[in-house]
Amino acid sequence: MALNDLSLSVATKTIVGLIGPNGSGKTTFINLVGGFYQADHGDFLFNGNRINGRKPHEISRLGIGRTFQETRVFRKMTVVENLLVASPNGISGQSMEKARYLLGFVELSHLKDEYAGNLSYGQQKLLEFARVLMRDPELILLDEPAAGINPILIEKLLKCFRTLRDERKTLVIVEHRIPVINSICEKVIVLDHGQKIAAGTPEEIRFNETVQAAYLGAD
Amino acid sequence: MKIKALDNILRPKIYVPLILAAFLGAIPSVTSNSYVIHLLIIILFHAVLSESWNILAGFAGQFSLGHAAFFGVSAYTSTLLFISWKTTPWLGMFIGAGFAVASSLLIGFLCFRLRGPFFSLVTIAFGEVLRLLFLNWGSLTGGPVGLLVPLMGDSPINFQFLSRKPYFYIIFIMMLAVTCVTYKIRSSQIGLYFIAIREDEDAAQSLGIDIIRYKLIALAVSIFFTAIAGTFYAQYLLFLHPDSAMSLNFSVEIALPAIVGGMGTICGPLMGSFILTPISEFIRALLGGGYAGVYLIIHGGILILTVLSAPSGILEKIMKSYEAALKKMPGG
Repeated sequence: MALNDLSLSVATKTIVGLIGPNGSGKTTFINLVGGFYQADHGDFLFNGNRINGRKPHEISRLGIGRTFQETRVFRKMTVVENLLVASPNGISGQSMEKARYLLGFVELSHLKDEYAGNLSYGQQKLLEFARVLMRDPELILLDEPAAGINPILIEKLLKCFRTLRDERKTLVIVEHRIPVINSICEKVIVLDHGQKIAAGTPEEIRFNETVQAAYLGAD
Repeated sequence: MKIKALDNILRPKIYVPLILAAFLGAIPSVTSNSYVIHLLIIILFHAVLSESWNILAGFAGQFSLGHAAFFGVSAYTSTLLFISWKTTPWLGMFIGAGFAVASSLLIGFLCFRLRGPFFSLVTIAFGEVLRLLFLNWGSLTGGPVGLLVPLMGDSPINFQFLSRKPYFYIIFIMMLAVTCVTYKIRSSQIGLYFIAIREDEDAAQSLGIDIIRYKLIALAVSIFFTAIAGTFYAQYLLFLHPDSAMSLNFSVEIALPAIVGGMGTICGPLMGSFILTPISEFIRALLGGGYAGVYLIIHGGILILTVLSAPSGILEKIMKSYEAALKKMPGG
């Protein structure tokens, strides 16, 4: 069982980090919330409404956006098309304007007509992130956004997260890089073997013995 | 708005295909060679079919190997309506298309929920079941003897002409229609949805795209054009047989021009048809009836060469030099 008896809440307009050793159930959690997996029992509430059993596209339309652990850009579309496909307003002047703004936001404007498959891995991560923002979701689930990308692009990504924090968006970030979590998250939740083992501020989590044991072994 | 339309026409990407289409459309008025016109009809016929298939397989990524079955459903429907109730094939064409689209949607509805090769396998199975059914249902379809369309002479209302030229213009208009629809799809949000589904279904869903709905739309549009070409086929050849109109071989023939020319492109299937159809026609003419399957071997060879040298289709290779040439043209 990937997740068992897990209960957690994310306050609106906060940035929450979800960490844990490999196999602890972080991505499973995102897949469950996003509707890609169905829970055997239990409830997911979003803005007070139960979202269990809904299909992924319905959940997206409710205002929950997500990225994937491995980048999932549409490789044979151009960069700007990758954003337009996500627009709820179709291909319109308004959508183009928003796409232009978001490409500027993630600093990919110069690549707008390039095929997404030709971008570097890090640039694809940025594009995937911008694509999620195209739908203007209330809650954004980011699955290892900084994995496999160089420090310069990580800085770009963090800059974007900080801007979103200032815009009072709700973000849940699954990440292995603790400095990334420490620098932007207000709250951190730690999973191990599908269960929540700790929750608190980054500072509290850093010195939590249960967390240290989960990462380093009980001995 | 008018100025914008004029601006578009002045772009070589628009006016060069328009000039080519006008040139193609003018050929029957400058030649009376019946074989040349027949060859063009067959090329355009395959272009219509492959372009239709391309909407579903090339853009939306749903690889059908049973298009011939839906083609046959429409061809038989319009022909049986014509024989039994004297319904004009112009109307029968749309009734047949309705049946074909309805049956395809039923299959799509059941299969599109599953991932993997299920849709391809089910379309093959559906095609074979239908072919065998039509082959053995002699009282309705003529069975292995085939079905002859009653001759009406030069009768435009009954979709019959003594000259080949009207057939040419009908299939030419069908080709323009399916190409325009494909172009319109590609440049719209729905086209982006199709490509997103082809590229990554999970990512598409995560962006709010109802993938089953859009796969069904792609299927319906694709089968509609395939089906109307079915009625054209029946009225042009005036004969139907399940082994030729509904076989798996024919489904593969429908797919090949798009694969060779370039799947998921607008002009790839047209180009593929202009390459493959003359080759098979010349081989058939050259070798006669004794070597009926040789053209399939040649097609196979071309397919292998294409996959090895231009996996995305010949069009992509040609487009690079074509686009370089376009830039040197007025307005480019």
